[in-house]
Amino acid sequence: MRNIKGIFKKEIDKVFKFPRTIFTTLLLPGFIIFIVYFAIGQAVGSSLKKVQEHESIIYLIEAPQSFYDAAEVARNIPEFGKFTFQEKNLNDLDALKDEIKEGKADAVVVFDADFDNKISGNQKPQVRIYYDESFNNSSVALNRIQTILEIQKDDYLRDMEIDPNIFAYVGESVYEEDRSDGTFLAMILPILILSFIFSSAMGIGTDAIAGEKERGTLAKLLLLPIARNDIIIGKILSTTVLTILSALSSFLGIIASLPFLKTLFAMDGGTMEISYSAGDVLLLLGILVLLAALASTLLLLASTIARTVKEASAFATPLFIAVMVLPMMTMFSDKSSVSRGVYLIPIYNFIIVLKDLLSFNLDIVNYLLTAGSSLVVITALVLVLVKLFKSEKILYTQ
Amino acid sequence: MQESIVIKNLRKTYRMSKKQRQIEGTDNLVKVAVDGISFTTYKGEIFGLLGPNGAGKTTTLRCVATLIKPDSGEIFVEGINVKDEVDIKKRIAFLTNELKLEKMFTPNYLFDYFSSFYGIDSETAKKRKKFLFEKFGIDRFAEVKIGELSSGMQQKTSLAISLVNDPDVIIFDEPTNGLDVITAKTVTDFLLDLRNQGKSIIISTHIMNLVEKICDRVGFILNGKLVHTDSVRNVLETNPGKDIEDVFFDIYNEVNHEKH
Repeated sequence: MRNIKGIFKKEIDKVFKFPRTIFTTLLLPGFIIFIVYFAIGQAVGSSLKKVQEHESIIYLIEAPQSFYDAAEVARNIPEFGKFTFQEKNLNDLDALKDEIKEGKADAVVVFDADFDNKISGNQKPQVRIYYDESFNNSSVALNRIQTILEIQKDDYLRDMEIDPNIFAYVGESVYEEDRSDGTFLAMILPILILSFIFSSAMGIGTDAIAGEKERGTLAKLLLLPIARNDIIIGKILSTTVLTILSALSSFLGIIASLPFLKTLFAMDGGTMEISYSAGDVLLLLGILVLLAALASTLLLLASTIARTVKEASAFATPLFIAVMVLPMMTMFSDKSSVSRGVYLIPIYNFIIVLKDLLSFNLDIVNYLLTAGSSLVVITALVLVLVKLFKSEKILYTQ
Repeated sequence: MQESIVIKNLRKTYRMSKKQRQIEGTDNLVKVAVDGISFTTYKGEIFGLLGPNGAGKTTTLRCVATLIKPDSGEIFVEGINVKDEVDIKKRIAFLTNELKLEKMFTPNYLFDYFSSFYGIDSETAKKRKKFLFEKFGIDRFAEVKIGELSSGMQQKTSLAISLVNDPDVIIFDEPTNGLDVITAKTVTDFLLDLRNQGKSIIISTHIMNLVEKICDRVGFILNGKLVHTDSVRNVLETNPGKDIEDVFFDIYNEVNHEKH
């Protein structure tokens, strides 16, 4: 253990003893992420400002006077936004829906005929709002209509001493394409986490052995009076720890940029009130550690086989591409379509589990399957590395 | 004299790639690098393995240093079989100019780092560092990064660090290769010092003059075989008017004549 600690210490010192490597390995990834997301947040914020300033074109069918009255109240609310109404006929509803799909109008509100009288007669009338969720202007129009309807309930019905819940309104999107039910965070974070971990491991792992071969410093290590297993295990541990630290830096970059991304989450209908429990965070940490260990062992494998860092990077590139493509394939997948067997597929299982975890859909059995199968794969890779590290052909290719 | 390194029937082969076979002009899949070599070195002597490039010198020394494993044969260092890798490495120093140090670290850091693996107490390690750094003139540069040192100073640092464990046996592959004359002189003088301290030293070289200057005994190695072993004094006395180089070529011609 003392020998592994010795090997580990030097690898860690390679980063922590020098301000330049501390900056490039630990601070820069987080800083870049912060800058990128800050820029995205600013851009989205500016785009949302335009949406808020847009004057909503709302078609009304059989709208009662009480709705118009409520709309006048809403119009006087500061920053409520502008809107105009156009009265239409129920017979044209299909054509009006098409206009919404084309972006010519933002919403259609259909009231039951003789709405106010039905309320007076306790007949429970209905309101239907047609909008297109794929247009931000249409989603904003929906919010404005819902607010006016709430005002209508509060101001009009209460004055008449009628139960405000006598009428209900339902929103119906005219957008036809299937959409994922996952949150934005669950869709995007697995991609980010995987890319942070693998890109961090790429720099550190490829240099750890191939770099030493290239610089002629590996033989000096092999001459130390310690078992070769200790050398390779020390390298695996140090690469894993540095990968985690580097990935955490990227993670902190995201956390720091969250306030600037607020608008981005809000646009998707999500919420900024992300309340993961301590248990969720621990499970996430467990996944991060396992993922970092898997990435480190895979990249050390490339580094051991290669003669130079350049060659190691070339070996690792297909792996890196696969890792980037896999999460995109799962972005819009539905949890119910994933069978238990999938949680045994290395790397892919991490993506699915991360998605489950971040969207509060985690099944602990699937988590354990992922963790267990990953430990088996990592152990197998460590054994291969130990064997390769004893091969003269591999070590003395220089 | 007390035995130090004992090599019995050492044989080592390498598998050749297609490219290597083309370069060597052969269809053989295997190259015999060392072919049944046996010899013994003793404490308090410098033994020189003399031979041209590719003769098997480096392979022999790497087998002794446990960097590679023999196909067959036995090697004992200070009575310990080289199969006990860790035990052997505690007692030896393997030096070659190909062994480089991490350029980002200082001699001070690397000396402390390497000494930490030998279980040396900090006081002894400190004294040893002071002695070796002064001996090689590194003390003034102890806090300068390796990458910022001259190549001669880098070599001397590598040498000092290899001797961190005060080894009983020093294995030196081409000790003066690539060194400037002043550094080469420092190295050869130091080897003579170590020999006088009773250490066992084995070097490989193709520089005949170096053997004559510092070696007590010499082994001529050609095509993976040890063709002649004797003390340097005997070689010169039995071949009056000839130097080591002349004797080497006599042997070389004789071996090649027999071969053809």
